[in-house]
Amino acid sequence: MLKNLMDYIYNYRMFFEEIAMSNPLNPFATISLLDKAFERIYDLRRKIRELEKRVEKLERGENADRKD
Amino acid sequence: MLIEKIRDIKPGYSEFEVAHEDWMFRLLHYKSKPKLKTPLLICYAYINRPYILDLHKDVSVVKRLINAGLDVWMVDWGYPTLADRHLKISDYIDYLDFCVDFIRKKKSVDSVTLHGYCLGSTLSVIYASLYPEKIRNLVIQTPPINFDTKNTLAIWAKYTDPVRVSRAMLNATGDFLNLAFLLVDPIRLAVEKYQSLLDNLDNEKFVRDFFFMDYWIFDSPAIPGKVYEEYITRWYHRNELIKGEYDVDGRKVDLNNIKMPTLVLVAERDHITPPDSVMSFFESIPSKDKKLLMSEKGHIGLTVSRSSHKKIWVEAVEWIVERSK
Repeated sequence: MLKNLMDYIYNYRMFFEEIAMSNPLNPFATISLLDKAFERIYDLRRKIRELEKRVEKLERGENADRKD
Repeated sequence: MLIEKIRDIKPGYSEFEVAHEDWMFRLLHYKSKPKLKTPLLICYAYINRPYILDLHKDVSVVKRLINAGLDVWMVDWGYPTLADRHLKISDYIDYLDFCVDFIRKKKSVDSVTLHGYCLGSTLSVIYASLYPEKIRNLVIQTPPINFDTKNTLAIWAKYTDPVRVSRAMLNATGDFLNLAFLLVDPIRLAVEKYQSLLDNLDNEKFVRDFFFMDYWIFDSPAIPGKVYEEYITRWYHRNELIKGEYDVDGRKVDLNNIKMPTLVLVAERDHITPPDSVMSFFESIPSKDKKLLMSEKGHIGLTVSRSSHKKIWVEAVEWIVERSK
């Protein structure tokens, strides 16, 4: 039952997103587009954090390639 | 009037300052004059809010720790929104590592006491396995480590498809989670509980305790979608942690690294993380200084019942203090 409900919610949203995206006058980004953007932002945040850690290690004079 | 009794109810007793903030994660530092050398970092679950450990004056674990001379810090995982759907469990471990390093640097110590609660215990055990040198003592309260248990929530979780939930709702919302918790025991939680409130309207202490608890119960942050997927699939479905198969960004989580002093607090009548979810872990870790304290209470009663504060917390705080000098 939960699976069917979740599929219904997802497909219902996708149906309206399709309609919205096929309309050239639509001024709004869809949830799917925003979700993709948020995913990229988080990937970038992780890369920045990784670089920050490496810089900190280099400043301390440690080997920056070590994972720990 | 009922409203007069509950007008000033605002959970959270002890004063704190925000020592660090990163997007929605925060590191809180409780104001105190600590006498003991080793700071204590509380890592709460990413379900519900951490102020349950400081709900009000009479049942505040934080107050008890501060009064014992400890320097208390707490991680607040915040309220994830749609924008946070792509957080991963490794991001939580990463921020925990940041917090531990922050405290070590600030207090000029090599290691801290890490106190996890519920899923915060799972994060704490993972962290202590990855960075044992930074953890002087490990305290875990009602910890789910072995997810192969027979309680209702665990059975439901095994039959849940988290990818479908995350795809449809993006995050596992607080309402969705609360509904699951209520359905575990619907008559008691949705009927009897409120009946007992009506029966005790003249008892001010009862009414205030009731609303403090209800405020906390329904103050429920969402679980980020990707965290929910990983948590249900890798912990409940595959039980990777206790089997030694779990990894964080490719780094294996080896429970054999738990050699530091370890205190485990377990609740006998816990319907969320029953004693079975930690017993095999407790028996298998190589720590030579380990202790298990069993309460006759439930998952939350262990923290907020006055009887727990008279018994189990006195013993638990003593254990921590002895190892924090």
